[in-house]
Amino acid sequence: MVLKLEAKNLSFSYKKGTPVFKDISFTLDKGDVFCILGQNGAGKSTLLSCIGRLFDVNSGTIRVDGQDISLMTRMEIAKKIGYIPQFHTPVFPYTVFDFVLMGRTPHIGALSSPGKEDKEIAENAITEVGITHLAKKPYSEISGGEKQLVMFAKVLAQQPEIVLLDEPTSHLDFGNQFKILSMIEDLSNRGFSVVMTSHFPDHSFLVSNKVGVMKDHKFIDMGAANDVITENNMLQTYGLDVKIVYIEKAGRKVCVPLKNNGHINSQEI
Amino acid sequence: MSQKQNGDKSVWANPKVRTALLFLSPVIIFLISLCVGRYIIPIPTVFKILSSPFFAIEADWPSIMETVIFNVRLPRLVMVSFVGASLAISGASFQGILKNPLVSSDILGVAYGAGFGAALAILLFPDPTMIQFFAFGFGMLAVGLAYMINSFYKRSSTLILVLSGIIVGAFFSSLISLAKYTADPETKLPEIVFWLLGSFASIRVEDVIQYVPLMVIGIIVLLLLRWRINVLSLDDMQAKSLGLNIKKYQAVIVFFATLITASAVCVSGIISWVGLIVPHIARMIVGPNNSKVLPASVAIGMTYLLVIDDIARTLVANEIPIGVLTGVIGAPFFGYLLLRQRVGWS
Repeated sequence: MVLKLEAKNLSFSYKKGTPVFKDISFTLDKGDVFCILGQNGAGKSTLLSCIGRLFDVNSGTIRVDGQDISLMTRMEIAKKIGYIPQFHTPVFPYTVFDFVLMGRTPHIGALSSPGKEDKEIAENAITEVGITHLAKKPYSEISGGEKQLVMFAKVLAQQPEIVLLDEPTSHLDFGNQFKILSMIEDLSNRGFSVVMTSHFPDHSFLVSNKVGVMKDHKFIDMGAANDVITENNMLQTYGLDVKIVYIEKAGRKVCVPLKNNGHINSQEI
Repeated sequence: MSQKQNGDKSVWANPKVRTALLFLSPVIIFLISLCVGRYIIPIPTVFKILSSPFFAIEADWPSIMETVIFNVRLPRLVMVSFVGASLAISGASFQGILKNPLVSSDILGVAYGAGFGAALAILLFPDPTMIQFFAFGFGMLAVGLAYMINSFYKRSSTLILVLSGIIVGAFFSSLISLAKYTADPETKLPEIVFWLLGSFASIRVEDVIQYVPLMVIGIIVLLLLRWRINVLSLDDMQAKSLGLNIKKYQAVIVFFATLITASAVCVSGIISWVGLIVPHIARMIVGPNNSKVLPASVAIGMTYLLVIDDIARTLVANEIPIGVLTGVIGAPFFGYLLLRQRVGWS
């Protein structure tokens, strides 16, 4: 079977000599959720942008369904790969509905406007995400959590097969973070493959079946969350002493930072 | 703010009535404009004269009325309408693709380029027919230069394009000053000054035949791209991830918006404000969606400039340069609208 997404030896640098990342390889199946962890500035977002060919990699290949994306047109890519950026407010306060409708762009001819079918798809996407009550509101006047949901609706309207999420839970309150995480789980259950960047190792226990830890321009470890989110890896990546414990009542592991002093560390919890 | 809109139970609150009024207003104002002027012609006579080429109507009006309608007012008003529409829709398009509600149709330097072209033609040739060609050519050249400067930057952004336009505008505005400085103050200087102030006083049928088709083509292309402009007004990463080749679309839209602005400027001189405020008025009425803003801008641009031109023609015995009036009337009017209603951007 052909893999949904296959990235091989990707390298990228803005200027000569200063690589943002190099020799990155990974593969993704249908329904996989791949979570990329790493410090601020480790190149996570750039890697995500390259996967959607928003930037072109300097070397390496990315294949979607076995097809090299550097040989695809932007429209063809947009039909396969959707992208949800970090926080963004457009200059003009389009209504939530108009904004979600823009997700239909790759399916609409250059000189055309969205038709009845496109509007129905956008409406369905809004219903699925559960924000029907927001449809007529200006996008600029809703809360951060609501904005992120609107972004999900937009990507659903786009109907891609792979969804890229750039730190989907940052800027969100505690409750909204988990709302978004369950949204991601839902995407995966429906057969979307997801690549996301995150600052929360905990979140990868929750939603991802695959984790890559980025440090010094490359993955220092990659695999199942249970194998990759280790106390050693977290120390290496963030320079932070953490305790990873299984909590029976939650039914999963959590990653708890300790106060980063040796003596507290030795006392244990 | 919103209570004003909701509490308003007048017919104006009905969106269908609003749309109908919006698109009927240029037609109504056009007909009224045919009547007014130094020589007032009653509306029934205007209708009769207008239909006389098509139907056998007995001419019970003095022949001078016919001359005024067909040779003076009709070409002038057609030109005024399309200049208004062109400046407004190109302003709306630029605001969209440059993601900036404060830019107008001449943000990329077209007006100053055209102004310098006109000044140069006035200095070089005794024959005024060259003025239009030079204005048009230099207007297009200025935007071409701004685009070239922008392309020098590897990671070009809309902000750099706007800055390039400002650079080119400043350059040509200095050249205009130089042209004025060297011009003969008795003959050429006043000609340059009056051209720059803008006027429709000398519009001929030939001007209409020459430039209105260009404007119609540009307006149609921009109208066809109106929904795409929504997507282009998002940040570049999003527009790209939705499958748009931003540079290609930007180039096409800038070209056609410039084509119609240059056509407008070269026949009428520099008319400020229309390209900036009409799109805002349109957004106040139809909301921020460019699918509606662009057609509404065409209608409002026509209406607005026709009204201003009527005032320019009738207020005092000597015609007031229209470029002066658009600002003098437009600025306070826009200020009033801002106070009254929410704007279509944040």
